[in-house]
Amino acid sequence: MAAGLPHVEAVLDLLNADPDLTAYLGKRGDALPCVVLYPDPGADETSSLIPNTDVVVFIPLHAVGRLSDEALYVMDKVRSLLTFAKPAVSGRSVHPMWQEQAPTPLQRDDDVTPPLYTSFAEYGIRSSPA
Amino acid sequence: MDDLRSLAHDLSEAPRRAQRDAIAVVEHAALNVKQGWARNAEQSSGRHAPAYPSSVNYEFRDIAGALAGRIVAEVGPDKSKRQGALGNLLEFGSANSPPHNDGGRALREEAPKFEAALAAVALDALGWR
Repeated sequence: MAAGLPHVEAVLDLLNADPDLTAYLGKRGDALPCVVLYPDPGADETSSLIPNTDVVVFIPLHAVGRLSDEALYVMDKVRSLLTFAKPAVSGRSVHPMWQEQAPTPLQRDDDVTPPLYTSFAEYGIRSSPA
Repeated sequence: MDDLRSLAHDLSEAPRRAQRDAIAVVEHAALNVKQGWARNAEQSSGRHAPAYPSSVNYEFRDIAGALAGRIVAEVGPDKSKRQGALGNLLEFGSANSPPHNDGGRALREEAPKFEAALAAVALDALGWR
């Protein structure tokens, strides 16, 4: 059974390789603006009659910024980096990534100080054995 | 010639039949998404928001439109029900709260079944199944 974690790590590496972006896993850090990934653990999925095992991981995420345009900038950056990307995962042939859910409208979160703007979106990554 | 007339009749009836059957397919899918959403919500937030799962509902947005072929069902938490107003926060999260994506996951689970059911409607309407 293939694991989802290497896929998530590959996506994190891809995002953090961009000098203008900070990506976190599961919890927001100090850097702003940022993107926070909340991936599922991944699931095995056979996609054809040929015996193989694909792995599919869905990655809901938040683009977060102090200003509305910061959050929008992060979401645009994430879209350009992830859509059709094929991050390298050892031993796997990665299919082009896709946007599973389009971004939600920006929301201002006044429960934190200073208030932050967030938008939610979801991406997917699938791989087959190499 | 009779066969040809019969085929012509079947083809002219097909859109009407497909439209009628598609309403049932959409309603069935909406019900499944609603139930899946509520189930997911029980697991993800049942302890903190116990009334939230039962706030999830579905409705046809436009009955007349559905009969005219514009079939739209809306599934989601009803804000007038207890804890239904938490839907946006629970589904999409906030700066410090993870998104639960209960509805998104339920929709994804239903999508392939919905597509297959709609394909079956088209085949049945044409008499090809």
